Amino acid sequence: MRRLSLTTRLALAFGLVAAIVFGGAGAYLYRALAMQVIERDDAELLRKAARVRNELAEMDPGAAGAWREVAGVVSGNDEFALVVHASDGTVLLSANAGKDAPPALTPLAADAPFDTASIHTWTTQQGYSAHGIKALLRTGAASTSAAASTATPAQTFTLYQTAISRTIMLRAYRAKLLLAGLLGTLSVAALGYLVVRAGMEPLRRIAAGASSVTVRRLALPVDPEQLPPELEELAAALQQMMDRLRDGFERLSQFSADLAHDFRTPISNLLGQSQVALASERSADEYQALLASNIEEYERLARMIENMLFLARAENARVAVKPARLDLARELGALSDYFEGLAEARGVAIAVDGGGAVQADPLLLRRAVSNLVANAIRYTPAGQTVVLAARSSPGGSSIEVRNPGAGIAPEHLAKLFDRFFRGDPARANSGESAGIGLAIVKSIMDLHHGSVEVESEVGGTTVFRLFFPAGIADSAPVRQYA
Amino acid sequence: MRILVVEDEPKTGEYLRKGLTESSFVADLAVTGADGLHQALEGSYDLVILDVMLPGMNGWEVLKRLREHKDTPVLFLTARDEVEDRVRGLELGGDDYLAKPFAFVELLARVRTLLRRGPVREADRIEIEDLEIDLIRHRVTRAGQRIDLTPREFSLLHFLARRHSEVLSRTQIASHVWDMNFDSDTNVVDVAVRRLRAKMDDDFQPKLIHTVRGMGYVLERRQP
Repeated sequence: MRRLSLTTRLALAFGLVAAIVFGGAGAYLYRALAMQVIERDDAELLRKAARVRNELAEMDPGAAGAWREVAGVVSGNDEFALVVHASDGTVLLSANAGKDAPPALTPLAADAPFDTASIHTWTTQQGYSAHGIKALLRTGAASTSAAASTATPAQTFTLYQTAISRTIMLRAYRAKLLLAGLLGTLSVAALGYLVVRAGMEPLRRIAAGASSVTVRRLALPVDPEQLPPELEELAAALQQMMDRLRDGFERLSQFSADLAHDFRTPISNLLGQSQVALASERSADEYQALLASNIEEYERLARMIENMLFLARAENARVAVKPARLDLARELGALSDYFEGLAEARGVAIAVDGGGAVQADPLLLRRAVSNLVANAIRYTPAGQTVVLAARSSPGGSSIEVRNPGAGIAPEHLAKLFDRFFRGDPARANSGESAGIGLAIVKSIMDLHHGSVEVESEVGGTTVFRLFFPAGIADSAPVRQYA
Repeated sequence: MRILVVEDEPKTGEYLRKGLTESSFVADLAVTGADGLHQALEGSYDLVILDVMLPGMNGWEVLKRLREHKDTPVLFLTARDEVEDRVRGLELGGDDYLAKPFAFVELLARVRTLLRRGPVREADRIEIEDLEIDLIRHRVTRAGQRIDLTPREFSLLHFLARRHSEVLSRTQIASHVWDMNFDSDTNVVDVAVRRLRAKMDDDFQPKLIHTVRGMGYVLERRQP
C-alpha cells in the first residue's frame, strides 16, 4: 500500500473530526426537534381525548346527530381517528379510521386522568409513527342517559393519530442534516488539506535546503529565525549534525593529506636511491646495501599501513576485543623485561610499581603500554628512571607510565592523541615514530571503554595514565604468560 | 618438497617462486584459479600457496573444490586481513594465512611449519659447532666455557638455535621470546641480540649469530 502523505493524513483526520462533530450536533438537533413536535402532538392528543370523553359523557345516544358531535372532535384533521366500541365489540362510531387500525391497546380506567403515560405509540405498516389512547367509559353516566335508548351503551373509545406529516417532516429534516454534515465534513477535509499544505511549507523549505547540501557546502541555506519555533529546533539540529559531519570530513581529509605526506618520504627515498644505484655499475655489496635500505623503507610503509588499518578498524569497532583478567604486576613486568635491554642501552632504568588485576585484552593492553614505554624511554635523559605503576580499585584499574624529561608544552597536550600529531616538527619523518602511536593508544582505550590522559610539567615529569573500567566477565581466570 | 604458488599478480608470483626455489623447494606458479586448481589436483604438491583475490575463480572457490578431493596443506595470502576473511579461509579448510604485505622470511617460516609433519620432539640439548645448550639445566657453554645468560637471553638463544639456519624476523623473535605479538618500531630485538652476541659470540670463532640485513637474524655456521 502506498504510504499516505502527512498532508493527506491530517486532512483525513480533520474530516473524521468534522464528521464526529457534525454527526453529534445533527443527532442532537434532530432529537430535539423530534421531541418537541412529539410533545406538541401528544398534548393535542390528550386534549382531544379529554374532549371525546366529555362529549361521550354528555351525549344523548338517542339524539339525532349525537355521534356527529363526538366525531366533530376529530374532523378537520385527517390524521386523527376515533373509534367507539360497545361492550360487545360493536363499532358504535368510526371517524377517520382508515386502513391503519391501531394494534390492541390496553384501555385506561374510566376515571383515570389522561397524561403522557397513558399514550401508546407504534409504527404503522406504511412506516409512519402513530400514537393513541384507548379508554374505558364510565358506565354509570352512560347508562343513565342510555336507559331511554335501545342502543347498546358505549364501552371504550380509541383515539389515535397517524403522524404522517410529522414523519415526513422529520425525514426531510434528517436528510438535510445528513447532507449538511457530509458537505461540512468534505469541506473541512478539503480546507484542512489546503491549510496543512500551507503549514508544511517551511518543512519543504528545509527539505529543499537539505537537498542542496554537498560535502563542499555543509550548511543549511535556511534561516532558522524565519521558521516556526518547532521547526527551528529541527533546523538547528540538522545544522549541528552537518557541523559534526563537516568536522569529521575535515579531519578525514587532513588525515588523508597527512597520510600522503608520510608516505611521500619513504617512497621518494626508495625511488631516489634505487635510481641513483641503477645509474651506473655498482659492486654487489652496494646493491645489497641498497636492497637492505629499501627493505627498511618498505617495512616502515608496511607498519604505517598496519597502524592505519588498525585505527580505521578500531574506529568502526571492528577490532575484536577479547578481555581477560590479567595480573597487572605480571603484565608490567613482562613489558619492563621486554624494554629493559633497550632502556639500558640508553642508560635509562625501568621500575615497576604497584599491582592488582585488570580486565583487558592482553594483546591490546601490551600494545598500548608498549607504545607509551617506547616513547618514555625515547624522551628520558640518561641516568633517569621510567616508572610503570599500576593500581586497582573497585571501579577499575589504572596504569601509569611516568618519565622525567623535557616535558610536553601545554598547547600540545590536547592534540597529543590526534593521528600524526608531532610535538616537535623537527622530529617529523625521523622514522622512529610515525606519530601514530598515541592515537593507537587512545583507540585501544576507547575499545575498552576506558580513557587515557596525560599530565606534563615542562622540565618535570610526564605522566600518561590509562584507565580500564571494571566490568565485563569478571569471573574469567587470571591468564598466565610464560 | 614441491610447492604450488597460485598468484595472479606477476611480480608477486615471480618473486615467490624464485624465493622458494632458492630456499631449496621446487616451486611452480599458476596465474589463474582454474589453472591452480587443475595443477593442484593433477600434480603432487606438498603445499599450495593460494592468493584469495584471483580473477575468475577466487581463492575460496579453489580451496573448496580442492578440499573435495585432496588434503594438501594450503597457506592462503590475502590483502584483506579482516577477521571474517581469516575465519572463512580457515573454515574452508585452509591451514594458515598471511596478510599482505608480509615479510618473505615470515612466509618461509610458515611454509616450513606447515611442511613439518607430525610433532617434532624437542631435544634435551642442542649442539652447533662448539656451542652447547643444555635445555634441562638451562646451561650454555661455548668451546667448553660456561656462559651466564639471563632467562631472556637464554630463550632468545634457544629460539635461534632451535630454528638454526633459518632467518628469523624481528617480529617473530619478539613474539616468541617476549610474547609481544605486534610490530613495533623499536629496536628492542637488535639490542637484545647485541647483548647476547657480546656474551657468546664476540670472543669466539667462528661467529654463529649473523645479521641478515633487512630480514632479521640467523644462527648458523658460515664458511669464513
